Amino acid sequence: MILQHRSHNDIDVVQLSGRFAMADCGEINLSIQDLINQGHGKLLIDMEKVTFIDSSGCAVLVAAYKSLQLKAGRLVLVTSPSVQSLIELTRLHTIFEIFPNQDAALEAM
Amino acid sequence: MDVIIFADRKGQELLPLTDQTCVPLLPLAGKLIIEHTLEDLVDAGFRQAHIILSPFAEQVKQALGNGKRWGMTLSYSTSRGEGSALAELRRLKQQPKTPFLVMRGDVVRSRSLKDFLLQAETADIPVVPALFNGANAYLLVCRNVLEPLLHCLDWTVASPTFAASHAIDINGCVARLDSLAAFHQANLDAAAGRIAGLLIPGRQAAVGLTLGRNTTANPQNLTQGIALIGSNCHLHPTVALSGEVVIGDNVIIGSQASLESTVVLPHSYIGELVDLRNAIVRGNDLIRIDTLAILKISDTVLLDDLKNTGVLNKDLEATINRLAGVLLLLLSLPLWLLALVLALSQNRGKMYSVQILRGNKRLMDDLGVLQRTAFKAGEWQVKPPVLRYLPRILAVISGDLRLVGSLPVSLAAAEKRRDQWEKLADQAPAGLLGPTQLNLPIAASDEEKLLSDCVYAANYSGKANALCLLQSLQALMTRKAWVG
Amino acid sequence: MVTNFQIPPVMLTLQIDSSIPCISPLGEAIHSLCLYATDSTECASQMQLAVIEAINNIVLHAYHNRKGNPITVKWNNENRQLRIEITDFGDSMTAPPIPELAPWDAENGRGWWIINACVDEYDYKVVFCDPQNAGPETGKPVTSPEKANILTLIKHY
Repeated sequence: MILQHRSHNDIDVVQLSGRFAMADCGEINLSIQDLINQGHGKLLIDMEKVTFIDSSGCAVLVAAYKSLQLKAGRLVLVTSPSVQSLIELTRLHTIFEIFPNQDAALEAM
Repeated sequence: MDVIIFADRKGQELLPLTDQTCVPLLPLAGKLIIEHTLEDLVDAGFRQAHIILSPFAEQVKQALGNGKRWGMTLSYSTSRGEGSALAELRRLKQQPKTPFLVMRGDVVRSRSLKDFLLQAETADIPVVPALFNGANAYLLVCRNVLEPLLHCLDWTVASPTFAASHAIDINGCVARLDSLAAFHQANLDAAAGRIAGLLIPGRQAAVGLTLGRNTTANPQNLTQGIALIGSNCHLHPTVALSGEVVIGDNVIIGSQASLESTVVLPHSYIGELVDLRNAIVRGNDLIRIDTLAILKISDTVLLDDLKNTGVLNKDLEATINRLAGVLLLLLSLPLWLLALVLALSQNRGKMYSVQILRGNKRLMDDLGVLQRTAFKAGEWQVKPPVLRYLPRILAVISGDLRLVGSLPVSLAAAEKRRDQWEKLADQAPAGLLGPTQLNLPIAASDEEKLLSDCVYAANYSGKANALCLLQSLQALMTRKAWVG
Repeated sequence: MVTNFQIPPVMLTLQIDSSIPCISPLGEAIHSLCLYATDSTECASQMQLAVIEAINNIVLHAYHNRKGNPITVKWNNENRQLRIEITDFGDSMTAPPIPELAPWDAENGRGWWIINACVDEYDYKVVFCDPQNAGPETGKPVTSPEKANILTLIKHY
């Protein structure tokens, strides 16, 4: 699992790739929560290159969404097919704002 | 032309109907709401569509599949629900090619798509919304993805603002299904043909009565009005339907229930004597449209009772049986004398005893449920079965027993029959003679006897009964009949 | 002409330690095996997801995140049916939980919902086994309690 972070104007962009499973979740969660605490309340998590995600990965996304809600911020996701299918399976697509690619997401934000 | 269907309503306004499913999957006049839109598209010559879903997306995908059933190719994506159409369209992985058709699939409109498309072709404006008799039809042809006028597709926009001159107003109607009352009314309207062009499944069994396959209902069930009944339903002959009634698939309605202007969702169960008016029934839930109160209907009718009525209550057969009982009594008079003599000689104290058994007569109990009643069956205290059970001929004359039937049991033993297979035996009337009485030794276990009665009930027929009578004549000559 | 070469019935046994870094490689192995057998990426992904969710549960709840305990995965392919048996020797569940979807804001409790959706059938049992069998061949520690929890996941393809 690789996590890259960059800022685009006032938007924090986190790009994940590889497997997003329990082994990586602790660290990713810490980094994302840090970013949320320091950032401007706009977070884009780009998972277009994530090959696998499990329920602990989902939990990280839910935690990020809840933290941003407290800050009245906004979480936007970009998904790969496997991420999208787990999100739909757990019906989280009714909660998360999802875009097909990073450009569309940045433009919408 | 590409087709995008929005079916992303969250369905709050239709709770509790949408607590386990979503709006496009609710039934409207025998079909899913979204099916009406798909059929309209196929009728207008479209062969593919992309559907945007929100809650219970997986259920919709499962229900519609790849669209082969309609000769279509369907693709899907999901959204958070009830978002702005403009934003949702831009979020699609594959952008539609202009011009394209956008519509909502979680409302129902009369079949006017072809008319609309014909007129839209000539209109030279970037977005052509459809009005059906002045009402927003949630249907438009779009020549530019970035057109803000797309907001007339948004569910949350109460009344979209656009110049009437920029819309095409055609003859038709739209059911927004934006409240329980509207959903109820739309079902009645569809059944009565007030939403023109909808394909309604079923066959016309009588004037105003449309039945799905495998449904048992009588023309006299409909006292007045129109009824649309789905497939695999059982309506007791005494059920009364009036006004406009829409009944979904797999619905069972008990005797003397009366339904007026009511919508019954699939897999529901309506007990005996229930009186419904202006209501929606979903499973055990009853929603009254006038008060929006939600009540539970108690299911007092058992499934097997509904099936039973055919076997137990044939009046002519009952009379013939009783006459046969009289004849048998006359023929058996010499045996009674023999039984009396034997009983006197073998027993000093008790020569005649009485048992309480469950018979075939049925009476309504305190809860309004028909129950089989008990009767007193006499027995001579002698060994030969033929003589011992002679007094049961009296029960045949009184109508408590049939000549041929299952082994009569005590009320306590009948109570113990709880499993579905055990209850099967109750479907046959109890009788003086029968395969169980003739073929099994008296000492056989209760389970064995019950199993034999189940087989008898499952194969119940007049022919089998006649054969059984012949067999009993033969049995009269056997050792078993006289020794036990 | 199309000739369909059938894969003969195959049974493979994999074993990992109850530590979190072992789970991902096992998941990849299951994915590859299922893809090899079924030729369907969808089926392989679902099987991988179900196995990983099950093993996450074992590591966290049966072994309380303690390393050094064995988890055995038997992979079996026969009659167009994948059958995966996951055995552990940790704390048992009284019964497999009802697959209900947690409320959206819950941060855990989605595992069984996912397993239920990914496989056609599953079955959980606790068997009492002979402590004589303990040892390096069986992978069962000598000090282990005398029972094993077996979760079987079945998927038709």
